[in-house]
Amino acid sequence: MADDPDRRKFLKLATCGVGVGLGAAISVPALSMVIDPARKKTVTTPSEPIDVGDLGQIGVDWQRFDVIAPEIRDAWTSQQNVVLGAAWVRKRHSLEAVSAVCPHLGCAVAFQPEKKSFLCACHESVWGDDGAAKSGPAKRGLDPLPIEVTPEGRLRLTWVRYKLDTSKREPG
Amino acid sequence: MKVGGVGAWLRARVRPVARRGSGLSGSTGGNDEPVISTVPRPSFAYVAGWVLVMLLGLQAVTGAALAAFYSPSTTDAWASVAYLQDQISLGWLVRGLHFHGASALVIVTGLHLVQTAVWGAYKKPREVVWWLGIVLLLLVLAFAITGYVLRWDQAGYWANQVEIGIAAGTPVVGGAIKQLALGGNDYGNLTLTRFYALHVAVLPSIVTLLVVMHVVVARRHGATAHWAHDGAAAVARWPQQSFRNVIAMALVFAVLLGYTVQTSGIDLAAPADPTLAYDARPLWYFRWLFGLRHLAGSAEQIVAMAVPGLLVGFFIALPLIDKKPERKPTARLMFLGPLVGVLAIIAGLTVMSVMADRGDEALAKREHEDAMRSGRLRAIAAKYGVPATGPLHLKEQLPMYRARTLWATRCADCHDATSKERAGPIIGVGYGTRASIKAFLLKPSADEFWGRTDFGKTEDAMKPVELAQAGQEPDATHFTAAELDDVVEVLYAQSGARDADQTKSDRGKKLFGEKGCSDCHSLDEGVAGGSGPGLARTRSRDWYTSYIGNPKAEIHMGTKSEMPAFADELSIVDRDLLAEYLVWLRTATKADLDRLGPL
Repeated sequence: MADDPDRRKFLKLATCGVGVGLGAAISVPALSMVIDPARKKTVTTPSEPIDVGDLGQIGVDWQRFDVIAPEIRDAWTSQQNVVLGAAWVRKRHSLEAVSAVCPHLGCAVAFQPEKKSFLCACHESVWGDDGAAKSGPAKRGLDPLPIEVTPEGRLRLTWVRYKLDTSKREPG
Repeated sequence: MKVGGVGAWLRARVRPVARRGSGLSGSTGGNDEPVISTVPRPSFAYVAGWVLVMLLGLQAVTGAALAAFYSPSTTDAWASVAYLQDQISLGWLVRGLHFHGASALVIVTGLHLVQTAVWGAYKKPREVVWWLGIVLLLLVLAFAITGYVLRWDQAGYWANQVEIGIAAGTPVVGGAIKQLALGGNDYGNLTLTRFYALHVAVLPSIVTLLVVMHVVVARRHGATAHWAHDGAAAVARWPQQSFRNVIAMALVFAVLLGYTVQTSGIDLAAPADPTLAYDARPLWYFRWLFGLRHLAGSAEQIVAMAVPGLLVGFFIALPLIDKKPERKPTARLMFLGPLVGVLAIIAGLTVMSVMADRGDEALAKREHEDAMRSGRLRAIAAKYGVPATGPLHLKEQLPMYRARTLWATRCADCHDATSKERAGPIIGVGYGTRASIKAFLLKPSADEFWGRTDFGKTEDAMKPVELAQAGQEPDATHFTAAELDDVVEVLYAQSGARDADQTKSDRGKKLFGEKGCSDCHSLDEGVAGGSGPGLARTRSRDWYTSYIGNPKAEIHMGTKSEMPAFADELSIVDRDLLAEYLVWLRTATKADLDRLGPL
């Protein structure tokens, strides 16, 4: 009886089957929990324009403005006045704003007034005064950001993060 | 029971028992014979495994201690690391050992792999041991990546941006990998909790499991003899080999401890700030990849993914392509040659990349500024604590930060001594002291007072107080020096200063009426003067709050004021904070101001 080949075969299969099933029963809920945030927008930043300063502060040369969200939700927390990033703004023929996020891998880009160019210190990408890519690993120019002026003369900028390290500019 | 008896009792219960025909080294094939771990001969060539166990143990112990302080959230992470680093006894040492211990793990694991390759110890039947070893090396590197971001300082944050950026460039699944790693669409709390879970729970369990497998399988085949001594008789590890092991472990730890103490542990940069550029540099063991990407230019993405992939592939394939039993290195140059070549290139790239930074003066300057900044911020954190809103709000902990910021942005243009566009009286340290009131009374339209205002240049501006000349009798318009001091005192007393002299002030109040001050001004609470401002409680905190709110109010300067009213622009709280600052300035010195630190 104990050595019945069919019975042994069944017991082997059943042992493996129950074992695998048990493993799955433990893992599936845990894994799906861990995967869940990847499908969600866990950090919500305002998509509407954000007040960054006064028109009077703008010059013909690029100036850096912090982009501060009135509120962001980061998973379980809500925070007021959170710095999202920075933008470089100037006014020549028209008002221009570019994101200070490097389109290569997301470091922060700095304007060098003496060289009339932008530099990302991480991998030495360089952009011209107009924001067009000049040298280094960045595949595209600096990302322009929508900017507008309210009737009261306040600058309102829409913060957008673009996909990094692509030559085409698409929201990330 | 004798001591030996306890050992035997324990051995009979915990020592693995050899099964017939298992081929376990040291077994005699008998059912009850304990397996004796052996080496071909005692040698320092066999110490690497135990040194690695010691280092992993060190990481576990120091890691557990760090975890007892660490708090994985964007607002707390940096703060908790700064706390354990700067305020906990020996925190810097434990954190330094943990960080440099990881480097030691990478070095010793690397040496262990190279030795195994040179000795041909990956050959049949030890392929699985070799593969487990490679996976363990990769896991050690995974520990480094997941650990580096946890400190949430500029260095860890930006290095992670680059690493995740590379992973996100993977064809097809890149986006999903990024979302999974970050725990959503952007860096946030879930990024830290994930990396933390990987670093302290997932990776340690996997590594422990694989180390056990690695050791069990390695023991099954025994240590590989030097190629010149193949077939040597086996010697029990205990105690001859064990002694060498423990000496090697102690030596490695001594070097690690010495290095950690000598370098004062490991630095903590300024808190992660998404808006602030930082010269991200990877940990030294990834430095060669960083250098390679630099050289690769536009092909860097491919290089960053493909080169490590090819390397791992080469290592995994080694036992499959180097199949002959021959283990003498000189006979296997076609396999060891590429290995040496790769290691030389890695070393070369590392040196090149480091040297390139050495020669970069601008980078050195930026790094110096970063270091100064992080030092300042850590000092603030240690002295005042990190606000619950996170370390990016650290400066708000500085005394009167809000007021000073408001001052710098709203007031300094017109009132700071250094401003080129100054349009009002200079307000700074010592403003409102007896000396400054006296100077004002003697020359209200001086450059430092009303001189820069349009009103100050008109006939309506306040007339200077005139002092009686020597020998001249003081009269209704001329003051003696003592009389002037008394009037100064009553005006000074309006601020509520505790050191005001009541007797002098009373005399001053009398003089205020007699000398005609009261023709234009009033010292009565809530009463405006005839043509000038009411002076009751001037330069007190409440008065400043009211004045900043509306200098054009009748009780203040009326229409003569050229200063904008801030009642709508600044909340009462902000105006009060400014007022508090202005009151503080009266008794402050330049040194006090400097001590508050830069904004």
